[in-house]
Amino acid sequence: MNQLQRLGSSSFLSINIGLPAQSLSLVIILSFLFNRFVISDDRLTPRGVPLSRGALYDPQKDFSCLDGSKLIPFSFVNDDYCDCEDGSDEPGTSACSNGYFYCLNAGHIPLNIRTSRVNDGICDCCDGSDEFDGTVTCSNTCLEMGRAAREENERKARLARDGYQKRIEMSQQGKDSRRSKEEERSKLEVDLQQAESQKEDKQRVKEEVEAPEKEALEKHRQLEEEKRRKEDEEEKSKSEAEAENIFNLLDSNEDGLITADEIKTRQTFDRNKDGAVSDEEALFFLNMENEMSKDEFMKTGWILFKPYFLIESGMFQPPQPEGTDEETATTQEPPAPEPVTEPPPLDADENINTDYEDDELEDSEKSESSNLPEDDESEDDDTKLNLESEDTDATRVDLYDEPTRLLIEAADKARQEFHDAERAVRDVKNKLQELNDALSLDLGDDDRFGPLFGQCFDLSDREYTYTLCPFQKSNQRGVNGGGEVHLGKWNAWSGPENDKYTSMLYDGGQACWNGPARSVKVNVQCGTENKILSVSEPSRCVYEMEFSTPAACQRIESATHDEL
Amino acid sequence: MIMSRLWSSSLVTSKIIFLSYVFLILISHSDTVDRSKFKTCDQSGFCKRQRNVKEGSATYEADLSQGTVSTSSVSIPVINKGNGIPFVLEVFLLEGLKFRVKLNEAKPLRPRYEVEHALLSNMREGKLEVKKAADHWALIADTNNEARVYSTPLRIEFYSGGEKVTVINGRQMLKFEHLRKKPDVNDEPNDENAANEEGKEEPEPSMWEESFGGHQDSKPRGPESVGVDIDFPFTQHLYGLPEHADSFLIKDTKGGDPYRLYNLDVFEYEVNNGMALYASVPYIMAHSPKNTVGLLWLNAAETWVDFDVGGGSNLVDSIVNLVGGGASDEKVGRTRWMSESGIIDIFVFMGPKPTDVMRQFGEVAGTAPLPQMWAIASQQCRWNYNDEEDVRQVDEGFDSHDMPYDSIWLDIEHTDGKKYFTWDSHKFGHPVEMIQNITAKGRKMVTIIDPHIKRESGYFVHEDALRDDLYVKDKTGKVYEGWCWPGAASYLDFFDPKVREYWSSRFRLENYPSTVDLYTWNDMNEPSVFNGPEVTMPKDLIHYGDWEHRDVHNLYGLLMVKATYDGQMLRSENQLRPFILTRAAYVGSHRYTSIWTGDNTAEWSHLKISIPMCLSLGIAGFAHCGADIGGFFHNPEPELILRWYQAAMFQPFVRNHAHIETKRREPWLFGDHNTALIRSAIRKRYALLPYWYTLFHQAEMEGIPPMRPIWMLFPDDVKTYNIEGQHLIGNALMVAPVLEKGASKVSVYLPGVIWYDFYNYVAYQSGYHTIPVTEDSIPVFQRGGTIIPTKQRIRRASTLMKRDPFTLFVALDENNEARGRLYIDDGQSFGYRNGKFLEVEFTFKDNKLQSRVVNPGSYATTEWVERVVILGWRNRPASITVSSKSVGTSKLEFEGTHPLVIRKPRTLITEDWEIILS
Repeated sequence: MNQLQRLGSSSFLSINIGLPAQSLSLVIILSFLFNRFVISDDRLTPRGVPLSRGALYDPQKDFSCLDGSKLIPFSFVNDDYCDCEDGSDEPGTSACSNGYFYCLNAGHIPLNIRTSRVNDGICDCCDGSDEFDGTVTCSNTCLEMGRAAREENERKARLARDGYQKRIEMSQQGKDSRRSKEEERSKLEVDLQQAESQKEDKQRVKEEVEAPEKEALEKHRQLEEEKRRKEDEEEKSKSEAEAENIFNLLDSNEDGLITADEIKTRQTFDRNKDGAVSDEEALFFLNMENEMSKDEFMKTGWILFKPYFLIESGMFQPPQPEGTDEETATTQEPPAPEPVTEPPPLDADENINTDYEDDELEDSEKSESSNLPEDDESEDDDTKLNLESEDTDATRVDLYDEPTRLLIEAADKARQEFHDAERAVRDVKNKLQELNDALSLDLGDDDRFGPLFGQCFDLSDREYTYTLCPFQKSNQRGVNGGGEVHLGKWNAWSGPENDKYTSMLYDGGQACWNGPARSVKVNVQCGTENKILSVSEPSRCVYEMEFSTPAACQRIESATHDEL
Repeated sequence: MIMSRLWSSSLVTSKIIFLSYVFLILISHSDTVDRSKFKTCDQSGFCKRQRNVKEGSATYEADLSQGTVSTSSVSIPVINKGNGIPFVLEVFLLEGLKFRVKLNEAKPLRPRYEVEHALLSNMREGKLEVKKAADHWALIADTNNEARVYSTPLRIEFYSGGEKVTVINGRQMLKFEHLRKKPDVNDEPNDENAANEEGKEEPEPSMWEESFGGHQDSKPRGPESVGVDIDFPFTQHLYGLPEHADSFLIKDTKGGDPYRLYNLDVFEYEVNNGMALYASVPYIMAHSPKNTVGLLWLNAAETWVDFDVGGGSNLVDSIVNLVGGGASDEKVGRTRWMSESGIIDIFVFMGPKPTDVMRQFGEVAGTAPLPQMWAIASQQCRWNYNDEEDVRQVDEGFDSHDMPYDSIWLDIEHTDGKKYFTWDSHKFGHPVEMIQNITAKGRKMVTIIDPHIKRESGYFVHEDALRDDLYVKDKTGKVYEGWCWPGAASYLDFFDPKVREYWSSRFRLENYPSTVDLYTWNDMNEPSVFNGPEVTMPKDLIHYGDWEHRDVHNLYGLLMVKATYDGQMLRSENQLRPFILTRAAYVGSHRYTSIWTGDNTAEWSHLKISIPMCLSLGIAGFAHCGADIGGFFHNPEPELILRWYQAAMFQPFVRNHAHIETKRREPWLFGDHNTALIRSAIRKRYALLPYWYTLFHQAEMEGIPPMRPIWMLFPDDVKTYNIEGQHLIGNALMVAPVLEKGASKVSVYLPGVIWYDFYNYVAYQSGYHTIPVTEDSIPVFQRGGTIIPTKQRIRRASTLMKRDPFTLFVALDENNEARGRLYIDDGQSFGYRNGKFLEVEFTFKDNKLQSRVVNPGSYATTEWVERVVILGWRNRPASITVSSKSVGTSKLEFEGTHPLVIRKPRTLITEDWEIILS
């Protein structure tokens, strides 16, 4: 059998063992078994079995499949036929599809490979032990690979060590930041209480001064109304008196009716200026009747007659079309007095501006035109509008008498102060909310990812610049311009259950045409720097980002422990 | 891959005109095919004219007195009495019981197109005996087969075994539009002139120009369509006519549109209709228990076919008729074939059995050559694997999930700006190294190469094409310009031999940075033109030889793959068998290429239709056919992709592929549970590769596809005639995939005598069965009486299993007998054509399993037999003995009775051996 010939093959001899010279017969036996057994530590173990499990394969006994399913003669072990369902009888051949082959890989790391990779023509073990049927010759690359691996491990270990140092710092920063936030929170909670009680005080004051103001304004309103009513009545009776006078004037025979003859006597009614008042002209004024009663005259006639009397009296130049200005003027309300000029800025306004402008330039610009600060919140807008309208009324200084004006001014001040107090409460609440949000973020055990919060990182490739703002959002921008595309906002840590801080999910980004809303999975790995290493888009609008941070570095126990 | 690709990122920057055009397209389709983009028969001028022809209206007569006879053919003048136009009818006998009927104008105004390239050039002639009678000539092939040409009216009948199986022009619906001069516009009112020119024919619509969807077809050559009725008096069971997303059994077209054959890029095609798709093979088989014939209509122009085969609901009735054996008129299958130009050229394959017809078809159209082993394993594709790192990770993913696969594919985004034969220098900057990393594990790579050429100065193909005049021209002689993936593109004129030669040379390694392990996918070769009429070329374009595109449309894809095939031969210096996957095809494309069913959808109905589609392509020569696993468009639910994997592993061509807008679909992305189930499905494919390979060899030799309709093996079992969801792999395996969501059982019909579940060995008698299924199984049965060779050691790739031992599955029939075959070669080279292969016959008879090498010594291998599994054995044998030269005679261990597993005979596959049970 050709196993004999292989006895002298280099691969056999290359397993350099201290084989006791005592028994040549053992060598001969071995030679027959070569393909099925190997020698390590002076002991015969089935090929593909690690020394540590060698005891399970006892040549003196029948072999029990490791799952206990079957007992087979020991000669069936590694005989290139699969007897055990668990593949345990063929660790050194490809006969079973579910077994594992152990390569020692002296000089590098031992490996368990699937037995389907034994003698398939591809060198999977660096010691080449998986290919022994002579089809391919695998050179032993374990020493080089081991060296390279050790170097790589050292590099990684160094990286991890350095990174871990930084991680400790990051964690410290994270904890400090949490602590200061918590402190700030406690402080803000106190502030909030104060602000709220302040607000209550101001509200009380406001209500106190608003009551008399309301009363005074009501009174003022009633007076105004009464005055207007009276004026209207006076106007009306004045107009009626005038009409009656004219009627009496025209009704020359005093029979209570105006007739055409009576009209013809007055040159005023010569509408076509032919020097005489014709019948037609007279009838025009009598609504094409022969006569007009006093009632009729008061209702409709006066309107026709009046312009001619006004012309007569030289008060009015007739307009090109039939003039109705007079009528309009009489039916209109008396012109309201021109709106009073903008009220002078209140002292309170200045305070408000300095209080609320803060850093928002926008606000201060807007407040200049409206005299009151604006806010993004609509609630606030309502307040402002109310104040504004009251304010406009209140500034009609001329309209009010001194006591009322004083009341209004006092009420305005109280309202403004209440508004300030209210705003102060809201402001503190907002800050508290922000803090609570930040404090509720899962920034990793020991808050090691804390320092990343509030920062943003960029990476540009050929086409895009990607931005990651950890715990907030991720964006993408075309390198050659174009708008920013929102890739997703922070959702949660998404690593496996036992190791969740290894990846982050940002989702709900801008929807793709015909596709899903964009999302980014950020794989977090150990590195000495915080930075994006790479970005890919495995399927349309599903992004994957590699991010390195010291915060992901783990403590290395003793680096190259399990290497051989 | 089709139009929805248009919004791929790189195109977004393309011209606004294009985008707005695209946008219009997009708006117009939603989730299903946009029918308004494609013609109905009514909208196709010639189809409308041809379909108006009434029964009995044709006035053609053959003048037998003027006929001439040669050894293998006759030539008879024919005249259309209606208008006096003379024709020539030729009938040929080809060796192996095949008739060919050609009808052409005797003196056409200019030559009419006769299809080239589709068929083998060396068809052997038969020897004809002609018996002349007064009203007809009988053309006798042998005692059982003859054709008869009747003179008045012209009619050609074919007889097989005394039964009239085919009649051409039996209903006198022949309409052959002769070429004519365009009537002068000034003369048009002058009826006398027109009558002189046209005979008595009335002018008909759309003869000299027509338009569709805003596209004008100038039709300078006028009407030239051909159409004729062809009936099958013995059956209404007609099959084939690929490619349609429809049943294998052809449906009646009364009241609807005819089936259409016009290679088109159809976006999101729908199932169960006769709309044209990417490929056109005008070939059908007509089948009955007694006779089977094949009919090939050799015409490459747009073609429509009407079928009068009894309404769908009458199928049962027609079966009843068949069973009753009645000769009633009801069982006549009537068809009518209509093509826009060319001549009438019909092949009738006389059978009489289905496998005879397959052989006869193969002798005319050639057979699909044996693919390399890797090509019939499992392939992984996506539009698109993004870059080299992505490729590396996917490749590694298969290994880490212990799933075998044999090739990874790169879609259009791998190129530099859709310029084929180039690589994107950023994403795929090291193609040779990348390919080598893949091939180091025994795998291959495939890249897409499409026929549209980007019009970009500096792109070598474009520059060469302009300089050397390689592009298709428009009707004015200018280079035609259309839109496709690259934006503005022109199209190589593959009809020109110098263009094909140029194209082939592009594949040389020095012209295409890669290695010989890179193979080719030819897509969009209908050809697809985004802004063309019906998404293809205008019919009045001009090809080499001054043929209009109208004449040759359906051949374009064939000539492209032919040139690609030659290119691959150049790459490997004729050492390696080419592999090409095509979308467009015509008769004969299968000699060069594998095919898939195009851009299907992630729906159960599309999984279901993949079976009839591949059966149909299979009988038309395409041995290597498959559908995109999971469906190209949209995302399959896990259950669907699992069932699709299970079904696809029993179809000839296996490829996972998906649209760029879909989620990742590598087979381990559907949860651990489904990963295990899909792994198990894929491993079943790999175990059966020796059997598949043997069948593919048989396909090359005999023209019989590996995936077969059941009636091909059981021709007289009428219960098999309507089965669409079940098929055979070879003659030994019956597959009934799960095609319904949430199915817990599958109804199966098993013909013959006895079958065994291939995975749990339960025996079934013939008949209808309801088979319970679990999520990890689909019903697969081995027929009693067969022996299947398998390999049970599943490696990372099929090429790595080359030296592994065999396990034979012996399923005994009612006489305790079985037989099978195994074919082996090196799995990649052409050595097998020079005898470097091994064919082994297995026979089980008289308690003895024998293996006999049919051609000893020609192929060296160390493969051996590790196991024999016998199904249907009744008693535990006392002992089992093996004997051969290499093992001598020795007793073997064994286990069980059903199955009876014989342990490790250790015989070499290259030697004769026997195992005796006693």
